[in-house]
Amino acid sequence: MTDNTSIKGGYSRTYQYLNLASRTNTASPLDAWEPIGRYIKPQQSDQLAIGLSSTLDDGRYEFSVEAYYKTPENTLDFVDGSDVLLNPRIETAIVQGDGRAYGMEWYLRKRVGRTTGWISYTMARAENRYRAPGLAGAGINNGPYFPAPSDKTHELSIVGIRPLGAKWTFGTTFSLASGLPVTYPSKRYLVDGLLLAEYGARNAARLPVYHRLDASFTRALGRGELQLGVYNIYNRFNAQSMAFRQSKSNPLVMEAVRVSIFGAVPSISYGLKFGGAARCKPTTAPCAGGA
Amino acid sequence: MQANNSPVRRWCVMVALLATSACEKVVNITVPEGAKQLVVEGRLERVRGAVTGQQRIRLTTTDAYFSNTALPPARGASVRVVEEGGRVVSFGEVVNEPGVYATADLIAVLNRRYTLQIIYQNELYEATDVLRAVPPIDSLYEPVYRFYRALSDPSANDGSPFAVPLASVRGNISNLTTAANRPLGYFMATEVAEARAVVP
Repeated sequence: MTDNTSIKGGYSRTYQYLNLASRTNTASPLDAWEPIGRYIKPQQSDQLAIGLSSTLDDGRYEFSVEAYYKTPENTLDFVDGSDVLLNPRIETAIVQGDGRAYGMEWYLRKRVGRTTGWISYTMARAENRYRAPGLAGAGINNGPYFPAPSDKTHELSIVGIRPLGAKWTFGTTFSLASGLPVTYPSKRYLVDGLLLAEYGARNAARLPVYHRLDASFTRALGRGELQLGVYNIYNRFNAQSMAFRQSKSNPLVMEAVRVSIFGAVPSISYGLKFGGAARCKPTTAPCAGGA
Repeated sequence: MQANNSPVRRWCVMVALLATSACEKVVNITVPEGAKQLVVEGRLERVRGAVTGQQRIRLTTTDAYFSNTALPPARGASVRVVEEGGRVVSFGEVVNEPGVYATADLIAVLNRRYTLQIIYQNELYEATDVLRAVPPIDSLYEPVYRFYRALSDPSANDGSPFAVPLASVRGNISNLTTAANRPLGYFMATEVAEARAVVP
């Protein structure tokens, strides 16, 4: 549009022939990846995106904003109460539906000065629906759109980078995000001495807000880079999932248990760099780049 | 910033702390309770080798998930069982056992169809079962097995990667007045056999 502002737009259609069906309300290494076949149709997704990017203040800052709208079809999820683990006829436990996802992303980057870094913020919504007309109780949540397992309303990240002396560089990242959708029990009842849960609507609840701060010190060493870092510096136990069980002190009372994977984790890493710009021959048009 | 010994030592301490820190913590959360649902424990029994007309059906309702009181009994319901052939047996609420409805007048017969009808808070609930002969004591009637299996599965929600998808357990009782106000529990007519073993 002008010397320092541009707009862009894009449309894409993608097909996915290997579909993820998540068995639990949390991401798990044992989620089932299902190939398409006689009973499972490929996922198809149309996405429309428009964006504006601009450099400000003589290139000291870079700013962009982008909006997208996406309509996935043949998304899949498990029917209520399905037995999934090692089920040889997994298609009987799966229902396919369609979705809509839309959002807006803002990005501001400070490119020059002693402290550089960026802020990005995304506001988004992803929903699916699974209908089964004429079949009472089939489909999921009786058919309307409900939050997809990946739906994050807000997502913020702030990155700061600052050199410390001649050798070291300090970097820090703060991440903040809405909790993922989960299904919580809503009431309890007793049958033949078993205390049972009746669940609320699928994905109607949210895990607690997720946030964490990471920091690292990096320096060049030999042919590579040495990095000392701490992940999740203030040792916040972000909820990976919420489990429910009978209280040990009083088995007639249920309790919620927050399950977390990591608290603070220190790390040391060393990355070797091969090649690099100097090795690219001038005649080789696209240079594979440094790292 | 120098990579001297002190941060390294601090990290070692942190690693040790991490290794011992728990990843599970009991937390307080609130969940919306929603409307109360009727819960039916309805089992007509025919005891092998005995003749008895005594039958009991227990009705309760759901309660808030984190409640710490006993499950509320469903009082004042009208409970009856219609036998195949049309005989109607009414169950009365037992005086000192709120929510328990009983009769002394229903001798369950093999292969006969029984229909349970409950009117509770102006809604009609109904379920049907046929009394089948008892299987050998070490096997399980398959639909019954599936029901109990469904009961035990979602209750094993431990947050592990092996947890099953969370879902409500569906019984075999329908609400004929308001289908969406689904009752919980079951109705079954069953023969009961007892086996005793004395462990020396």
